[in-house]
Amino acid sequence: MFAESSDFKSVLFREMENGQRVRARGGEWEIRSRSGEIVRYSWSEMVQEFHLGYLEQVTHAKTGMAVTLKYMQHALDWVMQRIPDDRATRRLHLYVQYSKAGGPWEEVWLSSTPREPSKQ
Amino acid sequence: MKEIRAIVLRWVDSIGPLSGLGICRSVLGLMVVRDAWGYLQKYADRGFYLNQFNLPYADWYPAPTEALYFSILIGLIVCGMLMAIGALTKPAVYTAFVLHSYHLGLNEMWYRHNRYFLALGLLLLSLAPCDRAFSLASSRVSVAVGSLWSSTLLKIQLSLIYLASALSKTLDPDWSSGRVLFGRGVMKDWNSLAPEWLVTLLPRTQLVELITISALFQEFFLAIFLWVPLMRRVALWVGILFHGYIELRYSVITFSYLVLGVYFLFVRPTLRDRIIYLPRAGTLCRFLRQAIPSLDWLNKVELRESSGARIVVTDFDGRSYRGLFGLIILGTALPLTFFFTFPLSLVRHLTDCFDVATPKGREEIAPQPWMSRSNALALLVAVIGIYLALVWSITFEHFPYSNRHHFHFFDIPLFAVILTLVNQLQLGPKRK
Repeated sequence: MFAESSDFKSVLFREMENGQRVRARGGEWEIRSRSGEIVRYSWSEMVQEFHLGYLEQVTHAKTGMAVTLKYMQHALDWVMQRIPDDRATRRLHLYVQYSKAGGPWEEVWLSSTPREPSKQ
Repeated sequence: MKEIRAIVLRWVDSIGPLSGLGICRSVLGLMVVRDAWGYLQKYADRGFYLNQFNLPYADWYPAPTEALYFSILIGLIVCGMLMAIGALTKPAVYTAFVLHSYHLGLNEMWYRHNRYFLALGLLLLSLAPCDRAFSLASSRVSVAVGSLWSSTLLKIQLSLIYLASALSKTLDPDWSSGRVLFGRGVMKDWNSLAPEWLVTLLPRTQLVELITISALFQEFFLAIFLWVPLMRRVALWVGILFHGYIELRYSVITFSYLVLGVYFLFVRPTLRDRIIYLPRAGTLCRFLRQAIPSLDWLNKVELRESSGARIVVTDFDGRSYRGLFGLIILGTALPLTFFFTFPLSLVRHLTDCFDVATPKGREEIAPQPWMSRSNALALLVAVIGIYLALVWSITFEHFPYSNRHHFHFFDIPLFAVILTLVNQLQLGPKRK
């Protein structure tokens, strides 16, 4: 039977070059590439497993919160590596609120590894 | 030391009827299909998994191309179906084990206890004589008997799962306090199912604690009492109720069915220890003559002709019963009716008013198949074809998720029909 019953809600932020954190509403944002084309990114299209794609809504955590947070961290790094055209974003952050087994809500910030300067 | 060695050797050398193992293999085959089908749905919805966030266990683990990945899923479905009907059984089990294990290792986020249990089950099946019973090829064998050590390992594995699950939850304050089950919506079920006076009588906090204690008790109970002959049938019934509720309420993909498949290994290793005496005339008797062999997957029932006017059933303990109560006793020997008839059969422990004398010296009736072998085979192929067509169409038609989820419940009657037809195809030579 179920190991845990936890809920979470996460919000995606982009950290810009000036250090400002900009909320990516619904996990979506657009940038203009070097060639001038508009490129659209969507978190939920890139991250779909383990209920990690559901942003900004209370979602049931599969298996448990510890493993969900672990996969969120990996997902942040994975997505960061796959947006090379978005030179404006220095790193991605997830603001996660979670409640384990109906307990009080806790919060945590997760951050991707920053973009390497050579790739900017 | 010598004694331990002797016990181990005795266990390794133990042999017995393989019908339970054959049914377990069929169920595992259907679960291979169900598991692969889920990933086929994901593929249809989201595309190739490598194009989205995934987490391989190790960098050196070989990733498949999209075509290979799709072929693996199709291969699993084919192997699962072959396992279910018992055709090319051993190659199908080996292939399913290799493909399923490889697929399990592709993505850390795809790990589930039920998928691990399935991989372990396939490994043990590949080492067991699982192709000798309950298969299209087993009709040539009179009574399939073989080594049981791998079956014992599967049973031990199930008990360890129950024990580990119950112990970890007992030690987890969130679980033992009832908060986890409260969060999973058991109170909603209770409020909708229980009579209003009971809902108002019992405080919610106490009730959820009671349900939690009951769930933990059931896991401990099943871990231990499936091994105790006197309590085995009670434990099987409790287990069916426990996993049946979880499956209907939460649908845990394959776990419930895997457990029910392993339950067949716990069945007492005796054959034809129930006798049903059927009068020659009567529509019901003619129906039973054909229906019982089809439903008697474990080869537990012997049919005999009776000169009397009423049906008499002799149970494994030698006590005989007639009429409707006799049929209830008979139902406890048939997998599809066990859950419904077992509680009713317990009445006999309260009174002996249903007991009758056992008829003597009646001739055995050869089981009559419900239909000819060729017709049964054609029907089996048709049912499997319909099932696969449904799976295929629902997978690649973009139905809402909830509709697909409800389709899972069509599996239950279809699986029962498939297993009944496989059993039907064994009738005749095997029992003579």
